[in-house]
Amino acid sequence: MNRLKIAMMSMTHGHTRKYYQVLKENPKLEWVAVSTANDEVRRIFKNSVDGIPCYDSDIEMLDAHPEIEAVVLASENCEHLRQMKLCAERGIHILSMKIPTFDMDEYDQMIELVEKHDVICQIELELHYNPVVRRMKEISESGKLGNILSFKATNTTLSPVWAFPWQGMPEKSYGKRVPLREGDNRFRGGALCDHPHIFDLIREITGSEFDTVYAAVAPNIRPDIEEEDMLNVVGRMKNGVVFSLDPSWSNMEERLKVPGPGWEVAPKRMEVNLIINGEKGTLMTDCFGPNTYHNGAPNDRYTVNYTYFDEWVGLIDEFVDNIRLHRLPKINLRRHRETIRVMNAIYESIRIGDSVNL
Amino acid sequence: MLQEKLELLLNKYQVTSDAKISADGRSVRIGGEVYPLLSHRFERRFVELRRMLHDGTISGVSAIRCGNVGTSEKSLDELILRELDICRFLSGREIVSIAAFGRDRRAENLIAVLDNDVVCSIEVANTLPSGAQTIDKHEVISARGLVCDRVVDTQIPQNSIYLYADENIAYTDVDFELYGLDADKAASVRAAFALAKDETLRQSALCDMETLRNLLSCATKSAADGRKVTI
Repeated sequence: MNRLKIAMMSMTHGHTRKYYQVLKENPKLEWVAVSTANDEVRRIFKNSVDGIPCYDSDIEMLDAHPEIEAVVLASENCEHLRQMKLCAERGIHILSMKIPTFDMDEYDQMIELVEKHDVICQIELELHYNPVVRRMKEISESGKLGNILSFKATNTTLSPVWAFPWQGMPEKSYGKRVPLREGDNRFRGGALCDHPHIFDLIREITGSEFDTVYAAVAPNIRPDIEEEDMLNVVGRMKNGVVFSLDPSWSNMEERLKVPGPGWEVAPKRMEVNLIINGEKGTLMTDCFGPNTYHNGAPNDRYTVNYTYFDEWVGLIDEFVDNIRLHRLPKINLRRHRETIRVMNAIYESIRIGDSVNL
Repeated sequence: MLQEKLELLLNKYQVTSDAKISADGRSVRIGGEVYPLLSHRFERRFVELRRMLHDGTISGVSAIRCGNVGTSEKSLDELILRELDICRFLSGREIVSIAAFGRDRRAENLIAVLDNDVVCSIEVANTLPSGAQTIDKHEVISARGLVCDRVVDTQIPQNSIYLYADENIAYTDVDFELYGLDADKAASVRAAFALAKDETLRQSALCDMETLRNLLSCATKSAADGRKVTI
């Protein structure tokens, strides 16, 4: 099989670095080029990766490399529609970041584009390729827990806004400036926008769709950012499973411009824990554990040192197979649309201060 | 056993009282009146968490996270009431709204908002098999730091002793004077002893229980129709 000629755009997304290793090492891929959104990003990329041509604009890159077959849109959310158009109109397949857009009209335009031009568009929800999640799903489906009664999930992290400033800008993260609620000086676009995974995983694990959501936003632990950083969501799925989902930026960070050692103030930079309470018992899952720990450089502060699983290996393997077999990705635009609709309903619940029926 | 330990404390500290603790450790009868024992308020971990919220160790509290999964013998209401009171006790604030979603009286998830806008998330279930150790965790997130009653990067309680022999047994002994009681029972005896000594605490316990019953009723109402209830 010919190696898939792949490129990356913008390089401003927090997950950009996750692709460096897999794009270089995966034998199914040939990493052709990148385009960078600005000089700062270009400098950081060139300090991190050697030998990959780097362009100042997406169009310049695509014109220079007509052999490109697929692109990873490693960009801020507000750029996704424009870049999808660029790719789809040239018949280039797309790996989209986890939030294609929060604007449902834009979202439908994306679906139309991809279907009209018959390109593969896969959404990057990497937890589907996490071995702990896979085991959890197997146990859940085995019936060992009986029927699921409740589902709890945390997807908490530090705030990426210092390293990836667009995530702190409502118009770039959410797509526009929408106040959280009357009298609140914060806007949509913060922690919720960063953490769609648990809203997707509950659909996957329970095999059901959202029925009702209620969300409450807490006082920010970073009072100087203009988006929400702490919130919690409870509600019910259509099959009766009740849930509690926490997508907060509750893990305080040092305000580093480039992520690296010493990013953590809270000992953990990230957590995805899933708990299922079933009729026959309880299942507790740590998707990124066990870990290692240190209190050394650079801050001599007790720190959880992750032993990451590499979700991107499975994700990219599937992406390549989907393209070669011209197969609709499991996490496709139409499937993911409901998750985005639910996340908008959560913002609506915060706005009205009560539950929202979906 | 509980009464024996309570009398040990009463005698040792020369407290004259006819206090009789109930066998389940949930109430104490003193002078013919029955008082509820909110025993978690006397567990050292909650006393320490509360202290750290109020002595400047952390500041700018944003959220309180409570999880409690018990065995099927535990009533869901008992778990909800306990966790609601832990939020009140730790923060020293009152709950002003509750939204709750429950299923089959086996599992319930709640969001309670305090009168200073702090958001409390509470997840309870009684889905553990009989005899299992309760799994609970309490964490407070603030602008300056977090406090938690569980080890960093864990979800389940640790014990102080693990014996691996013909059978595997874990022990957690927390009170030398009340040696032999587990943490829950020791807290019940400590609560009963405190109430036996202090009339003000007895009246507070009655008031707190009345507040908690009202909160529980609001949670039940919210769980019935999935709407937020303002207290």
